[in-house]
Order: sequence, then C-alpha cells, then structure tokens
Amino acid sequence: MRMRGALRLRLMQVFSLRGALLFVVLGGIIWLLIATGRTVPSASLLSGPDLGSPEVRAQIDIFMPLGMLGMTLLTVLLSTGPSFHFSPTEINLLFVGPFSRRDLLLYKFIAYAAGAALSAAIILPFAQSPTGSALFTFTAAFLTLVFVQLNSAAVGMAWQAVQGNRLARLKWPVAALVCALALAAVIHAWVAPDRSVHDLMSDLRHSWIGIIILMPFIVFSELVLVEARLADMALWAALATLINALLLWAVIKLDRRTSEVSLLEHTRLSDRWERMKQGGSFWATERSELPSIRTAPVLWGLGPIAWRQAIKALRNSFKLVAVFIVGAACAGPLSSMAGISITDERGLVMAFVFFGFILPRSLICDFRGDLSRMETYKTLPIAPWRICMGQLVVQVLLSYLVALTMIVSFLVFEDRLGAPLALALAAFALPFTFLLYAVENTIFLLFPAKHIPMGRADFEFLGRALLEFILKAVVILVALSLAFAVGVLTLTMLGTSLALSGLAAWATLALIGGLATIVMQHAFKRFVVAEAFD
Amino acid sequence: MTIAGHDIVKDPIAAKRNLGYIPDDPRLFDTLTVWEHLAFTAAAYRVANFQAEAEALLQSFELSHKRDTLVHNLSRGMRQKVAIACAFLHDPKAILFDEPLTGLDPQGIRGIQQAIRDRARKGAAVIISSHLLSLFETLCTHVMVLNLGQCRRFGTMTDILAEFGQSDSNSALEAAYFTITQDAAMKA
Repeated sequence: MRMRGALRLRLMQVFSLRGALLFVVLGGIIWLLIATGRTVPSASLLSGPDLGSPEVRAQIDIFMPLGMLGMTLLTVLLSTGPSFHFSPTEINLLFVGPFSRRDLLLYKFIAYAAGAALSAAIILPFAQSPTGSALFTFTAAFLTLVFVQLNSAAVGMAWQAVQGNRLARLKWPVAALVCALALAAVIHAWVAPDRSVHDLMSDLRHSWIGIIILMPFIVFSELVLVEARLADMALWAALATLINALLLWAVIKLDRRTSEVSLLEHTRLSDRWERMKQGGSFWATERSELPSIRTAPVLWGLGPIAWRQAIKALRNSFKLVAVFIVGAACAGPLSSMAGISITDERGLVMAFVFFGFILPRSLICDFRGDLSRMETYKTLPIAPWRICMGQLVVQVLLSYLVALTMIVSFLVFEDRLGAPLALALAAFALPFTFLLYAVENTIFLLFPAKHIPMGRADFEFLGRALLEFILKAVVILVALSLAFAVGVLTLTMLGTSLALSGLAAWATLALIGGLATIVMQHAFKRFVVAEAFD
Repeated sequence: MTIAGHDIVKDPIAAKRNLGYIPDDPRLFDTLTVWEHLAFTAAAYRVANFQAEAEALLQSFELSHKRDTLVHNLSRGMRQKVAIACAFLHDPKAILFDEPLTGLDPQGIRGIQQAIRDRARKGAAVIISSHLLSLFETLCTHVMVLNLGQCRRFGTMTDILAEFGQSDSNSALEAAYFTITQDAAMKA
C-alpha cells in the first residue's frame, strides 16, 4: 500500500502542469547529458568509469572489497543503533496493528529493496557493465545496494547485542590498534622507494588472509566485474542472494535482543528528520541545553538576523562547514594528482557545479531554511532590505571562506596558479558569492518550497533543483560576461594597467550583486505567508 | 488602519514596533535557547536594558529553569509561553493573539489569561482570535463574530448577550454565536 501511495503521489506530480513541466525538463537534461557524454566522452560530466578498461577493473577488484570492509568497521565504531528505521507514522499505524515483529521487519526490508531497485535503475544509464548488458548492471547494482543496507543493519545489531559485555570494552583499543597498523603500513609504503600504498592494498587483497577476511565482499566485486557469460553472472548473483538472505535472517534473529535500542534510535532519527523539515541540519547538535549568549547586536537592524544565522551555522552546520573546508583544502592536491587544473575547462565547470549547486544545496543559513518562520520576519520592525542583508551575511561569508580555502589550496599545490591570479580569484569570489546567494534567495522568495525531497524520485523536487540551477547559471554567466566586457572596455579605452580594468570589472560585478539585492528585497516584500507552501 | 497612531501602510516599521503578534503555532528558531529568543527580540525591537524585563517575564511564565534550553526541546505549551514572552518584551500597544490557549495545560491556561488581563490593565489593546467561545466570556469586553470571512456582528459583550444570548442549556455566548451565524446563513 505504501508503494501504491508513493506511486500515486509521483503520478499526481507528473500529471499536474507544474510537475509535468519539471519532469520534462529533468528528463530532457538527463538525456542531453547522457547523449552528450556518449557522443563526446570528454564533455561528459555524468558518465561513470569505463568498466571495460583493465585499469578500472583492477581498481574495483582491489578497492571495492576493502572499501566495504572499511564501511563495516565504521558501522561498528560509529553506529548508535540498528539501521532498520520506522517513521513516527509507521510506528503509530503499524506497531499497534496485528503484525509480528518479523512481519514489520520484512515489510521494511521490502521497502528498502524497492528503494534499492529504484536506485539501481537510476544508476543504470551511468554505469554500464563491460558487456553493455543492462540486466547485468541492474542485478549487480541492486544486490550490492541491498547488501550494503543489510550488512550495516546486521553489523550494527550484532554490535548492539554485545554492548555491556566485556567484549564491548575492546572496541576502542582494537580500533586504535587497527589504525596504528594501517598508519605503520602507509609509512612503510611511503618510505620504501619501490612500494606504494596501492601496492600494499593490492597485496592485502590478494593474500590468503585478505581473501578470507574479504570473502563476502569479494562476491559483490566479482558480481560487478562479471564478464559476458550468463553462467558466471548466475553463479555470483546466486552467491550474493544467499549472503543477503543470511544477513536478513541474522537481522530478524538479532532484532529480539535490540528492540529497546532500536526504539531509542527511531526516536532520535525522527527528531532529526523533523528538525531538517524545519530547515535544520541532519548533523545539528543534539544537546538540549546550551549556555545562552546574553545579548544580540543591533547593527542598524542587520544584527539580530545575522546573529541568529551565525548561531544556526555554529550549532546546526558546524560539522558540515568543517567538512567543506577540509574538502576545499584537499581540492588542490587531489586535482593535482588527477591532472585537472582550476584554470582549464573541466576544473572551472567542476568548481562552478560545486559552488553553484552542491554548496548552496547543503549549507543553508539564509531565507531558504526559514520557510516556516517567514511570519516572524514579516512582523519584525526592520526594513526589508536590512532583513535581506542580515540573511545573506553569514551564508556569503561561510561560502567565501570555503572558496578562499580552495584558492589557497590551489595556490600551494598547483604550479599554473600564480599569486596574482590567486589574488584576483579571491577578490572576485566575494561579489560572485554575494550575487549567487542573492539570486538563490530571490528565486526562493518568488517560488517558495522546502529544500528536502519527498523520498526517492521526487520529480518535482529534482526538476525544480535543475531549473533553479540553470536559471542561476544564466544570471551568473550574464553578470560575469558584463563584468568582463566592462573590464575589456576599460582596458581598450584607457589602455593603462590590468589592475584598473580588473577593478572596473570587480565594481561591475559588485553593482550587479547590489541590484540583485534590490530585486530580492522586492521579492521579500511581496512574499505572502498564507500562500507559501509549507 | 493605524497602530498606536502609526499608519500600517505608510509607516509600517513604527506600526510593527507597537504590535505584538502571537500565532497559533509559534515557529521559533530551533537553534536558539529561550533566553536567546528574548535577546533576539530585544535587538530586533531595539529594547535597551532588556535583561530585567526578560527575567520578570521568564519568572511570570515559569520559564526561568528553561532559560538555556534549546526551544525544540520544549513542549508546545512552553513554546507558546516563549512566544508570548517575546511579544510582551517590547511592551506593545496592540497585541494580537491567534488561538492563545491551544495545547496548554490548566495551569498554563490560567497563567496566560492572567497575563492577558495584566497587559489590558496596563493599557494595551488585546485582540484575540479563537474558536473557544468560553475564552471570550472570561476575557473580552468586545466581540466580533466572523462567518465565512464576513463580519456578522460587532459590539460589546453585554449588548450581544442581551440581544441574542437567551438559552437554557448552552452558554449565553454560544447561543448568541449560533443565532447570529444561522441568521446570516438563512439570509444568504
């Protein structure tokens, strides 16, 4: 019934005018990306690795089982409870119904399997198997996704079952020992001239002890890498299905011993999701009390709004900001290793997708996270432009910090990026970021909607996200072109230094950012709380 | 329309500075503590030296022990109290309540009714929107009956009860309400 309900919801979305338009746009863009990727491989952003090439196959053979083992160990270290989660609605409706615990777990497993099937179907166009068989790719992706889910649940439950036991006390010493061994191995590989970390991992994977430890995971890497023969595929698929069935059986058995922990975990996760719906972060602090900050700054009316967003960033998104900053710091060495420069076409496209799509969708400290609180902002005795500026300050500064970290990382690790170019990038990044979030917020205020999808394959959400990105990209490109044109014009007319034309271009971009804020202010004024979808 | 002499269209900032609004389901900032909500309100409404008044409000709404609690950990009734404390902090001349007693326990209901009376006594105009007719009987001096978005009757409580409130079984205001809305429906 739940699947029928989900299907009905998607059909209703697709058959509404807005949903149909967004679905067509989404489908068109995906088709375009796939078609472009097939005809011009170098232009493809979404096509996956070529599984036919021996290098990629060798890497999957080594890293996939090791990666799965790493995930299992992380589950043991970090998991706070079993990972078969029931929503509050499911608890209210199903837990009081005439169903055994086994029935409920099977229902949940079927829901997960349906999700895995859908995910496998989405992966299909991007990761064709070496044979080109869609059936092989789908089977491998589906069984692997089900395994990841069941393995994490079974391992989490097994660990919860031994909690309180003397064995559980060994958790952190054993983890420290494993980390120390891994570190020693990495240092050894680094010091030895003819050995690399890759060689070390390859040796571990192909040693007899490695094969024994990694046995269940190797089945799935073999399934992904299976050649054209149907018999091989059937063999590995049968083994994978057997492993999944055993894990499901283990989950049902272990569930009896972890019901209490399971209920606590459901409550914790439900609270987190509820907070996300209210515009919070999944990683937000779970503390209930904190030392209060005694006063808020006024700063001509900007103060309280910016203060509230700064506190939100600190308490709600601190870990996320840290992850982005660490990621930005690693961008230089990683791109250097991959041979991608920030100044070439691919590097620029990747940086634009990161700053224009991934970062704004993940880090939200402005109007977009406050849909349910717009009523409060509308009643405040603060001029709309001050409220808009207050909302933008923290978001822009945090994003700018990530951009600066990335620029410094490229400056240190990339030879082609000199100090003058890095300085210019740092200077232009500020008005660019400001314009980006002014446009982002204006779109949100004109067409308000929550930034959380309603389950998998929410066509309206995906279509809207892509449309927004395209609209933003168009505005940003027009603004950058204008700024560039003004810079060139200044250089042509005055013929003096590059610095003066750069300054003219910078001022133009900042001016366009200012104009975007005026539009944003009008959008805020005409925002009608009663009409906003909540 | 004016609030404390300020036109809501021509001078909205001054008008809003004199208005306190408490929605039926207050959406507070989930990352702020109770005290920080008061600090935010003080900065937004430019209330200087708000600490003493904030302490008094926390005391009167029995929120003192919750000052450092993040509001998403509060019950619905507690959140309602925080919203009311924030609305009272800048001493507004007009206060607009939307269903003020939803989700409150008997003690909370009594406390908020008392707070409303105190504000009215100090000279604030208190406007309450509610479906709980008994609330009006205990608190209000004037009543406006709205039906399908239309004003059906406006007058003092005494006048309306004298005109319509004749009933043996129900409360007088309930009888008045049904008489007024049913008359309007028949005329329509």
